[in-house]
Amino acid sequence: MTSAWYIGCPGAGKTTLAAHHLAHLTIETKRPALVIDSGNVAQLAHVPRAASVADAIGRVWRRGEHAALTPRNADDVEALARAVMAGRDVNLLVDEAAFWMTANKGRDSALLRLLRAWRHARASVLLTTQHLTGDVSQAALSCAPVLFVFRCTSPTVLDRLEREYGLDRNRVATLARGKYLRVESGFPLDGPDRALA
Amino acid sequence: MEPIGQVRSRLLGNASEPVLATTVTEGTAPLEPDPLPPLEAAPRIDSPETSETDSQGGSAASAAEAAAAGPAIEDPVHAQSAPNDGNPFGGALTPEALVQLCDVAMFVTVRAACAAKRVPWDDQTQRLAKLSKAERADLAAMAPLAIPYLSKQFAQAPDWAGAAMFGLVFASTASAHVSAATARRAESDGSD
Repeated sequence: MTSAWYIGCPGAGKTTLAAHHLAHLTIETKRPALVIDSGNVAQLAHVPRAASVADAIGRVWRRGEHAALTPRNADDVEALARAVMAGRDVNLLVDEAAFWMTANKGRDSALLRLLRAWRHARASVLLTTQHLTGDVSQAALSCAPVLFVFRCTSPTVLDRLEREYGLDRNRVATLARGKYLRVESGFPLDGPDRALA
Repeated sequence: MEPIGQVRSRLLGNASEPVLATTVTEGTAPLEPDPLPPLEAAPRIDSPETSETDSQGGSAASAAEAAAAGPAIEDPVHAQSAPNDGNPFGGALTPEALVQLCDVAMFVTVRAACAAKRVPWDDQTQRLAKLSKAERADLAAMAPLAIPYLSKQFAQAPDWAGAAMFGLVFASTASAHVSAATARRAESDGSD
C-alpha cells in the first residue's frame, strides 16, 4: 500500500508512468485496479470501461475486475473515493487529481480524506496532476507520498517544489520528455510497493 | 534559507533508516505502460483463492455501494473505532490534539538533537522547532508513521528518539487531561 503523485506538464510522461506502476502494483498485490480517468486519455484506454459509479463498484468489488470511469462530475469522484475507503483492497489511479480537488474546494472532500487514510483502506493511491498549486493542499501531500516529478514550467509549481522539497527549479524545468525525479520522504518502499521503485 | 526537507535530512542524517529524510533519484518513464494483468492474475476479492477477504467480498461490495450512495463515511484515521495499526495513541486523538502533540514532539526532538550536539541550536533549528500551521499538520499526519520508527530508534539512539517519544507521550497525556477538563467544564456548565 502506498500513495504517489505524478507531477508534470502535458506530454511529459506522468500518466504513462502512473499507469505502468498501476499494472505492476496490480500484479504484486493481486488486487483490482480502479481508474478515475478524468480526461479519457489514451494511456488508460486499455482499462475496461464502467458506465457509472455503480457499475465501477460492481466490477471492482463484486466481480474482482479492473474498471475505469470518466466521471460526469465531482460527485462521481467523491462517491468513488468513499467506495474505496469502505470497500478497500484496491489500487486506485486518479488522473488529473488536482482538477477534482479544485472542484471540491471548501467541501469535506472524500478524496482528500482518502489521501490521509489509504493505509487503513488497504489501498494504493496514485494521482497525476499538471498543477501542484494551492488546490493540492498540504493534507494531500502529508502522508509522505512518493513524488515523481517530470518537467514542470509553471513558476508556482517550481516555487513549491523548491520550497517544500528542495528541488532545483532549473533542473525540474529542463527535464527531458519521459525523465523524472523520484522524491521519497517517507519510509523506504518495501513489499508490493517496490513496484514503484 | 535552507529548505525544511534538507534541515530534516540533516537532523536525522545519522539514523540507520532514512525515514524522514528526503531522497531524490532520477528515472525514465516507459514509452507506454505495461498492460494490466488478466483477470486470472487478479482474482476476485470474494473468490475462494483469496484468504484475507474471503468472507468479506460481498460485504466489501455492499459497503462500497453504501458508502458511494450515502453521506460521507467517518474518517477512519480519526474515528474512535479505527484500528490503531500499532499506533499507541490509536484513533482516540482529535486532529487538533494530534497537531499539538506533534508540535511538542518536534520541538522536543529538535531540542534533544541540539542537546546531543548533532546540530547547533541556530536559526534553522529554531525554525524547525517553530513550524508553521501547515507544517504541523504535515507532521500530525505523519505521526502514525513516526511513532513505530521512533520506538525502533529508541533502542539505537535513546538520546533524541527517547526524547521524542517522551514528547509524544507527554503531549498525549496533556491533551487527554485538557480534553477531560474541557468535558468536565462543559458538563458543569450544562448542569448550572
